[in-house]
Order: sequence, then structure tokens, then C-alpha cells
Amino acid sequence: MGSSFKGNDLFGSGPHVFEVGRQGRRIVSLAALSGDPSVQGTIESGDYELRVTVKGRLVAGSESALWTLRDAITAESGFEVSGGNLVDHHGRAWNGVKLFWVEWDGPVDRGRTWSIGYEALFGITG
Amino acid sequence: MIVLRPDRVQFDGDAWNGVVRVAIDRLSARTIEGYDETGSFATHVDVARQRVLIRVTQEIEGDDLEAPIPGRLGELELMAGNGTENDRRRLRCDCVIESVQNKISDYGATRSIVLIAQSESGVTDPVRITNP
Repeated sequence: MGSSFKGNDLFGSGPHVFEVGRQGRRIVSLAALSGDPSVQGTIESGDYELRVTVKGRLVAGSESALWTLRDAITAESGFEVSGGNLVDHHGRAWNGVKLFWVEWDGPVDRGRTWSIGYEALFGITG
Repeated sequence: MIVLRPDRVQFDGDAWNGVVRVAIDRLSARTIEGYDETGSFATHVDVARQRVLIRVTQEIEGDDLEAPIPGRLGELELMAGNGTENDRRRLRCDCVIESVQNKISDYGATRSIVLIAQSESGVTDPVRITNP
């Protein structure tokens, strides 16, 4: 099955993988909180927020087709764009996540196909 | 591509005599391999940059003080095929000399010239093969 975000196949033109970020309790140093390095100890400060990174490569048959794929992803990363459900290849879903940013991995590669690598960070904010 | 004992070899207008073989290798300068989460095999492979390497081997029969210079850009031109006129092909390629190496033994001397092909537009194959 294909992956999707808000029901749209944003990444299916090429290979891509999902990585879930750190999970569990966030431990914060009191020295960092207070700004005083002499303060010892740590405290629990809630849980880590969900972060899911999609890493892959968009693949198209032309320069313009590749830009269409890129623009579709970029359009989801704007400030006022709503979140939605992110679903991986195997049906695992993360609900209500937003696309925070997408980073393009170097220049476009022009071989048999037009392609570019990317890293897209999804998550929720508290 | 391999050309054995081409009839005539020229580089930038200069005749290269005694050429016994020309080998043209095509190598990847950037290979893309993409893997999905569905299995262990690559699902997208592409060669985004190609390197065309030409190796010209000359037999040198006497003193030679006019060896080609690395970095020089020119058109390599040779005639391949030694059968009928229909079998003959002209090979042309813009390229840059990368290295010139000589080997001398009791049985003679050979020179190996390595050239890297250069495409005019980046899209067209730098090696052009036509009828003579």
C-alpha cells in the first residue's frame, strides 16, 4: 500500500522511508533551566512531542513534473496549513500531524529520470 | 566500445600514429540507489552523471619528444572497421587529455593516453559515430 498525508500521495513517486523520533519523558537539566551551571540535577518536563521524518526521493519524467511534486509538498508546509493524518506504507497512521518543513537534499539529479532527495519533518505541537 | 587497430587517429588535428587499440569506457560519476520500506531491494536506481573514459594505446617505434599534454582539449577522431567500406565508421569525440603514460621494455615501448569526453550540451552523447 502507498503512503499518504491527508489522503494525498505526496511521496509515492519514489522510494521513501519513515523514521519516528525520540519518544518518552523529556529530562531537562536544572543547570540549563536556571542558566547556572553550578545547579545540579534534572527534572522531568513532560513527554517528547511526536516527530516523524519522511526521507526519500521524488522521481519524475521531466523537470516540470518534478517541480509539481515538489510544490505539492511545499504547499503543505506553510504556517497556516492545517494538519492531518500521515500514513506509512504499512498502514501505520499518525493523526493530526503537521508538515513542519521539507528540506531538499542537494541539486536535482538528471539521469534517466529527474529526481531529488528530501527530508520532511512531521509532528504535533503542544 | 573497443576499436582495434583503427585506420587513422587524430587529436585536435594532430595525427597519432601507431595506435593499436582504443577503449571507450562508460562509468557512473553519480549513482542513485533508493530503498523503500517494502523489502530489501532498491526500488529506484539511476545514473545521474556519466563519465566517458577513452584509453588510447600507441606503439612507439622511436624517439618521441612530442607527447600530448594533459589538460588539452580537442576532438579525437578515428576510423574504425577494416573490412568493406560499408563496415567503416567514423568516431568523433570532444575530450580532454587526462594522463599520458609510457611503458618501455626490452620488446618495445607503448604509450597509454587517457582522455575524458566532454559533451557540448550535457545532454548529447559526446561520442558520435557516423558513416565516413
